[in-house]
Order: sequence, then C-alpha cells, then structure tokens
Amino acid sequence: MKISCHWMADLIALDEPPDRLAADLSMLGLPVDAMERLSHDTLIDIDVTANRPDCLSHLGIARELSALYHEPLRRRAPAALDAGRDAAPAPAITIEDPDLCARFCGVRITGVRVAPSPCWLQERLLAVGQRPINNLVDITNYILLELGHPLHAYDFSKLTGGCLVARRARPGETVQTLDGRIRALAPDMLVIADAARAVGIAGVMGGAESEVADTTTDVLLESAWFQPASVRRTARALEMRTEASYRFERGADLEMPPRALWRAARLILELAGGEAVSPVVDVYPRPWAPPEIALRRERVERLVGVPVAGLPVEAMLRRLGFQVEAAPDGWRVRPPAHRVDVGLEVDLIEEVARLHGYDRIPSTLPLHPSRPVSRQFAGEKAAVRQFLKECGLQEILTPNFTDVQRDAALLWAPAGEPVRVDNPLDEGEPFLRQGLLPAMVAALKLNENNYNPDVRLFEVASVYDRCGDGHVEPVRLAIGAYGQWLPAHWSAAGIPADFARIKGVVEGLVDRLNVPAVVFDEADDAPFLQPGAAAWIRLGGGIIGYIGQLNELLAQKLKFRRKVFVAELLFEPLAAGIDRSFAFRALPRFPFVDRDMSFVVDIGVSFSTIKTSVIELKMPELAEVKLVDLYRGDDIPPDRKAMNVRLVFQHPERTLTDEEADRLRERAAASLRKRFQAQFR
Amino acid sequence: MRDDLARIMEGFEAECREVRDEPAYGLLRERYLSREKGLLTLQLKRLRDLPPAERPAFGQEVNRLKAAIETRLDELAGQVRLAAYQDRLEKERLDVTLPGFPVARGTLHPVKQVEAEICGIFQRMGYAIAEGPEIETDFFNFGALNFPPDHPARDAQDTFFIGDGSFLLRTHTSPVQIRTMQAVAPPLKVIAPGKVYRKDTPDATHFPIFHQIEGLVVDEGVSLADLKGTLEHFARECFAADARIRLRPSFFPFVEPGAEVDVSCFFCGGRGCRICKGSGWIEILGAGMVHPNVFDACGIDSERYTGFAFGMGIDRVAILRYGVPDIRMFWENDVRFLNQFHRF
Ligand SMILES: [Zn+2]
Repeated sequence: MKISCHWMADLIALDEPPDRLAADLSMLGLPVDAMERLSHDTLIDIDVTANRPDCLSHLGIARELSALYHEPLRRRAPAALDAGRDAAPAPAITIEDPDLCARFCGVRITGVRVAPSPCWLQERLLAVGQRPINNLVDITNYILLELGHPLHAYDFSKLTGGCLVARRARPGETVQTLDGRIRALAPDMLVIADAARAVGIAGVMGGAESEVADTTTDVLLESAWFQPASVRRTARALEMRTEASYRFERGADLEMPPRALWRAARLILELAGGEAVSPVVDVYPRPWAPPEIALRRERVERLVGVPVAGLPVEAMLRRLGFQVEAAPDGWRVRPPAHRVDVGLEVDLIEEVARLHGYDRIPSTLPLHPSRPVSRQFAGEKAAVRQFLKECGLQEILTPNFTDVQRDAALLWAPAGEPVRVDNPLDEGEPFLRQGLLPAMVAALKLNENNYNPDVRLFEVASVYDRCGDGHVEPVRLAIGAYGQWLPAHWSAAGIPADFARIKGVVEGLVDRLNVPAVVFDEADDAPFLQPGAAAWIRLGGGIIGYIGQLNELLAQKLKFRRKVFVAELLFEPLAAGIDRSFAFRALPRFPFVDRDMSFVVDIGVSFSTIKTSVIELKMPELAEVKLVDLYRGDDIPPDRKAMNVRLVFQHPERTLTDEEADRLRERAAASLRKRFQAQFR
Repeated sequence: MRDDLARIMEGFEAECREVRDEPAYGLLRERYLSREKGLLTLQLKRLRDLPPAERPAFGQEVNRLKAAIETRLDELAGQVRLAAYQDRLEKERLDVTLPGFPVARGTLHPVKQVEAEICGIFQRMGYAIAEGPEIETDFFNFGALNFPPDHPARDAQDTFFIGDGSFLLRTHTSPVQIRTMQAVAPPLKVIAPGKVYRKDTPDATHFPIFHQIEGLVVDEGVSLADLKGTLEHFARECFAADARIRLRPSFFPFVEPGAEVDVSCFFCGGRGCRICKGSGWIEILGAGMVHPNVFDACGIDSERYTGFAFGMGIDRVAILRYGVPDIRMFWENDVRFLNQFHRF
C-alpha cells in the first residue's frame, strides 16, 4: 500500500519528517518496504499484514498515526449528504442473500459529464501508481485509496429495471466482466444483478455492459459490504484478484458504505458536473453492534509482563477508536467497526502492547521447566551423521521432488506406492522420493562433471511412501563415493574408494551403534549393483540395506567415467536393532595365544562361512577369528584362493600352553579340511 | 719394564685420539684388554719373568694402568656413541615441511550445522527437541493454528497439496506445536527443526524446500517479556555477544500479540551496511504469544496457561552468516562448496 505524505496531510497534521513516520509505522506493525521521494511529496510503501484491512487506505494510516502521536484527525468522517429538494429518484436496491451481503448502499446522480479528472486528482492517483481514466472512475479509485472502501459506478441507463439486487448466481449464469472476459458463475457466488441479469461479481469486478462510458450521464454508485470468505472463494475460483476483492476478503468496514458514498457523491457533484443526487439508499438488515470484550488488568500484566500501573490502557484504546468503560477487574471495550481483527481479549492486549511499544517491554529470561518430549532415535540420527562425518564423508542435502519413472532403475525397496503432489512446481517431478540413491547418484555425477576427482558423500533424510489412507516417512541413509578415498601421499600410495572401504564405513557404523548380528551376503539380484561386487545388509532375517559398486552398464549409461560405490540403509530398523545393554566386563588376566592357519580353498568359499564354521565348533577358548591375508595368483590354481586366518585363544583362568593352542588349531583345521577341502600349507 | 708401561700408556693415549667410530673403538679395546692377546694381558704374563720380590709392585702397576685404560675406554665409548648418534640424527633428518599423512576430511552440511547450533543453544536452556511429519493435514498446518478456511493469511504460504487436497506438505514447522501440545501436557519447552515446503520458484533467495526451527514454551505465567528475554539470549549466543533484538508488532494467526523479530546486524554491529540495507537490523524470526484458539484446539486451558512460540528459517541464517550468494548452492552438493564448511 503506497501512502502519499502530501495526501495524508489532508487527514492529519503531522510535523514528523517522512523518515520518522516510516520508522514509527514499522514499530506499530506497519512495516515500510520502501520510500520514494518526489519533488513535493514522499511516498511510503507499507506492507500491510492480512489482519489489518483497515490500514489499506490513507485514512487507516492516519488513524494509526493519530493514536501514536496524540494528534486528532482533521476530518473525522464524511458528513451525511442532503439530497436537497430537487433530488434525483432513489434507486431500488435489495439484498436477497444477506448472509453474503450485510449492507448495500446506493446513490444515483444525474447529469454527470464524463471527462478527464482535474490535475490535482490525476496527480494524486499517479503518485500512488493508479492510472487516471475518467472523472467517475478516478473518483471511485480516489475513495478507495482515501477511505479504503471499494465503490462501483454503473451507467444507470444500462440497468434493466433501474434496480440492483445482491443475490447468488443462477445456475448456468454468466457475466462479462470489465476486463472483457465472459465468466461462468457458480451458484455459491454472489452477484449484483439488475432486473434481468448479473451486472457484476460482488466485491470482485463489475460487468462490462453496465460500465461507465464517455456517454454516461446518469450514474449509480454502489457501496456495499460483502462476506469476506465468500469474496475470497469467488475470486480464487475465477482466478481474479482485484483491489476490491483484496479488501473485501480481508474484511471491509461495515460503517463505511454510506460515508464513502457521501464523499464520492460530493466529489462527483463538484468535479463531474452532477446536477441532481438521490437520497442515499441504505439496505442494512441487521445493523452491526460492536462486540463487548472484557479486558482484565491481571491478564494484561500476565501476558505482556508489564505492571498495568505503568500503562495508560484506557487512553491508548480510546485513541485507537475503541469505546472503553471501567469494570471492576479492568475494562469493557467495544472496538470500532473498521477493526475487524479485534474480537478477543488478547487482541486488545496486543493493541495495548503495540501502542505502548514492544521496545519498552522489559526482557526476562524464563526458567520454566518442561515435561519430557519423546523423540524416536533423535540421538542415534545425530550420532550416525557425526560418525560418517568423522569417517571423512561429506553430508549433502538433496531435493525431495522427483520423477518416479526416472528413479525406477535406482529405487530399492519402497514401503508403498509413491506420494504424488497435486500441484507440483515442476510437472516433470510430481512425486516425493522413495529412496535416496537417485539423488546421491546425481550429486556424484554433478561432482564428476565439475572435475572433482575424489568424492565421498552421505545423506540422512526421510523418504515418503503411501501407506493405507496415510503416509509413512521412513528415514534412510545413503553413502556414495568415487575416486580416491585418500589421495596418494609421498610416503604411501593412495587408498581407493572401493567396496571394502564403503563396507568398512558401514561395519564401523554398525559397531559404533552397537547393532549385533548384522550380516552381509551376496546381492547379485540387485539390478542397479554390479554382480559380484554387491552385498545385502541383513539384520534379524530382513534386508536393511545394501553396499556395492554401481552397476557398470548403468554407470556407463549415466556417463560416469569412474567406478562408483554406494550404500543405502533403512535407519529405523538399524536403530531398533541397537543392543542397549551394556556392562563392564573384567579384563582378561592371562595372555592370549594366537595360531595362524594358511590354506587354499575354492574361490566360492566365503570368509564368513569359514569363520562361522570355526565358531560353530564352540571351542570355549576361541576369542577371535581374523583374516590376515588373502591371495590369488600364478602359483595357485585359478579357481582357488589362499587364505591366512588367525585364531586367537584365551583362557579365563590360566595361560594356555603351546600344546593346547596347537590342539585347538588342529581341531579348526580338521574341520576346514573336511568341510571345504582346504589344503593346508 | 716400567718404561714399557709408560710407553703403553703413551701409545694408548695416541690411539684413543684416532678413534672415530664404534669399530675402531672395538679394535682398540680388543688390542689393550683382550684376555688372550691384549697388551695388558701380555704385560701380566711377564710377571713370571720377574723376580718374586718385584712381582707385587709390578703387578700393582699393571693393574693401575689397566684401570686407567678401562676408565678412559668407557669415557671414549660414551664419546663414540654420542658421535654415532649425532651422525645418525643428521642422516635421518626429516623435511618437517613435507605434508603429513592426510586424514579424509568429512563435513556436515552448512544448513544442518546451523540447525544443530540453534538446537544446542535452546537445549542448553532446557528445551526438548520435538519432531513431526512433513506430510500434514490441513488441520495441523492451518486449522488448529487459527488459520480460518478461506482466509487471506493462507496466501503467504503457497501450499503443495497431496491426495486431492486431503493432505499437504507442511508450510512451516508450526504443526509440531499442535502435535506436541496434544501429546504432552504443560509445562512444555520444545524446539522442532525440520524441512518445510512452499511453492516458490527457485531463485537466488527462494527454494521450494527449506528448513525451519520452531520454538514453543507453555506454562503458567509465560509473558511477552519472557519471549523477549529468550530471543535476546538466543541472539547473543547465535550471532554476537553484544547482539540486540527488536520486536515489531506483526501478524501470524497462531499468535497474539505477534511480532517480527529483528537482530542487530552482525556485520556492521547496527551502524548500517549493505547486508542490513542500511537499517542496522536483520529480520530473523517471527514470534508471539500462543493464541487462545490454538490452546483450545489442543485442549489446553488458556485461562490457566500462557505460552510463546517463535520460528525462523535456518537456511536464511546460514546464508546471512556465511555470505552464500545463492540458496540453490545448498542443494547442489559440489564438494568444493561443501569443503569450505569443514571448519565448523
Ligand atoms: Zn549491517
């Protein structure tokens, strides 16, 4: 809302320079977006919040400044208009649907001459960004900007039956609006109609057929009050947003319709050569009575935190136009009709705090306690992110909107159907993501395109699935890397980001969280992973994730030049699997003994089966089974591999003898010979 | 024969001066003290050739000489070892300016870092962290927060709808207020960080997904002054030790009185600069006293309890603090960008 300081001077005498006005308006809750200095005027652009339609006019701003500066308005309200002896005949006005139109006023003026407005009027309109059209239209716009009330002017000669009615649209009814478009009306929309047809959409836009033209001499001015939600629904349904609808949907001043007409009619008589004016017709079936709101002293003190003794509550509210009466515990307050935002005690308390000045309210630091609020796995989520960061991974943030078709090749184990956004920003990405891998791969690709040679990324974020009538938002964790995990150093070769490196991170994470019983097995059936370089991560019989090299054929299609390694895990089952029991275990008092087993087995025998088969021997002294070396080469048949497995033995009550350790090793070796045809070396 | 001993001593002294390293030292020691062929052993063997009366005196002389040589050899051993050690030091000297063995450098996302920092400030004040779903209903996102249907206040939050309008992507973290108050009775002190969604076309300052943090305190006797004090404390921990805050009346349907909260510009200290557009203030938060209608929707007695709520955009704080020119950089994930945030 642009306010002209020059125009404002008509309404209130102010000594304050515009800068000061702007600062004070901001602190009153009317933030100033911009100031514009003209040769003989200053414009203040105010960003009026949706609850203050009363401030969408020069009068509204003047009222606020009047309350702040204790300076009375120059002109309280337009005076009633006396039609005189040679009055024009009054127009016939009726309200058929009073639930949508609470007040409808009209006045008819004959003998007008449509012409350009005088300079001063054109200048005022131009200054605040309103294009002058002709004297009649300009006067309605002038009233809108001065008093905040939308008016509409009809060419009376074009109204069938010389009457206006506010009613709901008839089925199938249409109207051509001022912008020339034919609008199809729905039966819940309020229209203004003459005896034959709709001549305007109430509170939104007038009709073209009854528009004031250069030839108009007989004009009917409409000034009404329309139900805000109805105007908003209609304007939205028709995708129209006008100065009128903007004000009506926020709530117009119920007391203003006749006053606005008095002022407008005077200006028309003065500036547009009007000859005769009718009495103002005022259809107002249920006149507004201000609500009476109890304002308790104790409540003001409690909510604001300032003793009321220091606040001139009554005087402040009166300055804002409220009627105030003393009551035993405070006041009984009646807001003025333009304060549509005030209906409760708290609203009055805000008025008091606002006019007193928020900056004058003291600061106190409360020491209120809080009941515990449960949050699932919050600590674990933070711990996972911190751990991955410390492993050298970089956290990323990726958008949630996506295209399920594009994601399909990289999607793993969605929990349901995808969630579709009704009104997406990008029609190509109407879905919420169900997995993190597509965005992870995209982030890796962006980095490869940007010539970043070594990249290690992770993300912990929700994905979204439909579930029954609702949705679930499970949290997932994704890891992606290519290039060198650690670059070559003058003292050592580089360490590549490869399967073992990613697996080490996942194992470290599982260990950090203390999730026992996580196992890995081959995932040749994961289509987006490289067969032979992919593992499912299993916990308690279910798959909770995967690790692997991105399938090379797929990676080629995505134009990756490097091998890409990825992992994705379901966070909730992982966190649910945490073993939270923990107790100190006594340190072993006797030294451990270790024995190595060096043998050759078929390539297909995995380390985990060897380890399991040794553990299954249930040797109580066995403390650990470690893989020390793995070798494939020319001196071994191509379908065999050499392993060096170290067994660590520990006895709780004594030092094991060499002979005992040898016997234990031999038991394990015998079992491997038998089960896997291991050839010992 | 005594002259022989004197000559041995002279020769020994001369030889000692020639010893430079451990092998030479070993040879020297061998030459004089070897049990078989050492020069002193040979002298002792000569005792037999002496008349018995002279033997004790000569024997004493030889032993004295042996003791002197041993003392001198031990001393020499120390010198030789020290010299060898110093020699080795020189050979093993490192170029300490060579780079050390690297560790892989991880980073947390700058927006998540700011989120964690803000959470930490409030957790130290005793706030619990609350969470809520991102796919919400109209009731939690608007209705219970005192946004009437068909009210223009909804315009400010252009909404993504789901399921033919039966659900929506939350436009702010405020629904967590409702969920928390419905689940837990006062007294309450929570903050709720999370992703929120508004249908804004991406540009340098807008992205349809961003992060907010919501605060809520409900108890008997919570006042606007408490809100001011709390946010002042927050601003001092988060922005600058001498930060000031300014509350301006404003409108959010779920609070009354409501306020926009400015923090004194942490670039210019409030004198006015490019960042704060010369005003000395930066708008950071929306806040206010919990509206009685919101308490009603949560079944909390608004006569007994009062409360305050506040909310702020985390991405915006990160942008201001680090001078990131374009919000979309947060979503691109170029490691050259992410690397810059390793120090936090
Ligand atoms: Zn500044």
